Amino acid sequence: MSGTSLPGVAILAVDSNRSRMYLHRLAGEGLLPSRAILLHKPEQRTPEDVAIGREKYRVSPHAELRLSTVELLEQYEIPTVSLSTIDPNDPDVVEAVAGLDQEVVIYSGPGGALLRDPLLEAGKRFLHVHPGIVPDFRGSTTVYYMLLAEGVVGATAFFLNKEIDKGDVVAQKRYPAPADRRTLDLYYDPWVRAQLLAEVLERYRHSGTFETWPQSDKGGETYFIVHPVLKHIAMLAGSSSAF
Amino acid sequence: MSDLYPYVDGDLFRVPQHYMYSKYHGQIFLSEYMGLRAGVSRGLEERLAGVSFNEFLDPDLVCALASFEGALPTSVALSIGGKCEKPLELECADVLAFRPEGEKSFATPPLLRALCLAQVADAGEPDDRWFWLQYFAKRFEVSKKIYPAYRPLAKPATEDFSALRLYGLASAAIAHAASSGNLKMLNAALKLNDLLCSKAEELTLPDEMLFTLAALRLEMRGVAVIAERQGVAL
Repeated sequence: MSGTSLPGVAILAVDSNRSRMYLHRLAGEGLLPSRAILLHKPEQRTPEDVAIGREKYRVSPHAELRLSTVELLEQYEIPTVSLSTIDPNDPDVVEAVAGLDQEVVIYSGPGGALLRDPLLEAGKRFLHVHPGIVPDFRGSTTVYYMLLAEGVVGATAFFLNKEIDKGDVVAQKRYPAPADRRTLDLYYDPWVRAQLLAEVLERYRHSGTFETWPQSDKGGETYFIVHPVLKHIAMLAGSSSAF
Repeated sequence: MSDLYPYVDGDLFRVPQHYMYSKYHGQIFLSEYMGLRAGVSRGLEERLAGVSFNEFLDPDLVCALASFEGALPTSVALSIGGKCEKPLELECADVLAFRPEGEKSFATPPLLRALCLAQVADAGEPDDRWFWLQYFAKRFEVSKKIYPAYRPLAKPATEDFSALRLYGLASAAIAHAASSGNLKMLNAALKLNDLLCSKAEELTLPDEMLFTLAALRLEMRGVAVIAERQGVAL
């Protein structure tokens, strides 16, 4: 695996479409993280529930999403610490992160979770890809707000700090709206983020550093969870059918 | 109860809607939304038809809403407008110039009243109006509540959050700002109005009913603006 992974980069992840897409995309480019910390809920589902859930993904039209994050980490032979919590600020997570040799940690944790001290003081830089162009689209569900405001999707890679979506920017890019907007949540949003992450890590592989710039402290807008009416308008716009 | 639009069901004070991972239902969802809003609006309009002008507690604000085009149905606006004889006294600029600081708590009702009045009458400083629009939109987005008093750093200064008049005032002001299609304000107005729709039967004061009716109409105008821009039928 050493030839296909980045020695200075780890990943902190939960099992999600975003994590699956990241690993799939980075594997394709030889940009895999060299260590992983995987967060998961204590298993409360029955083995039957788990089997049904796996089967659902097995038949997903999106090949990138068919294997779970655990399966992908195993397949790509990434040494992994598995922790029974989905709270990234849990003391066990802080300890595991602080113990990493890697300086940079790709963040792919649960949606809506905010990193706080002491995790942010653990001596690592957390690389996050946000689904919007900052500072104009900070906050939650910005993929929908960007679609409504600009008709496109955007992503910004930045290093997390204590303020929501205000960290130093590594890269940002706009992408066309998907042809089928029903794929937005499950596929296109993770796909866009994975594209930008791969670009950022490719540059890092060549230069050995992340060039960053601070966000403007003037203007900007922070959004809250999109209301279903606005979400529906964003998803129906540009679609040829009513469903 | 609506399977397609469950966001107005139940006691939203006790179990607030958080709108996370909301399901996609296609075009029919928007029809359901429009139908629900129109139904609540009709009910409020019918109840207001039996209210005489002197039953309103805040005639200045009621007159300001009645004079703002489209905020109220024509029948209600005409009925009220005919009673508005004296010029509006717009003293809202000083109220809205206030900023929370220090340790002192401040009362919400005069701020919301001034904000609503300033919005519909286009009075006061735009920066002051925007400050308080953002303030109350954020309070509701974060906590799903509007308290009658706050301390600096947005901490509630009371435990009670059940005054529907405050939600109606906040929503009318925010929905006014949303009516031209401001996405952030429209998002807050939609959520505030979900709560008001869920409490429609508990709106007993004529002012509460009128503020809510105006908020619903202005919100629907904002939704229509956004839908038209996106080429989506309602």
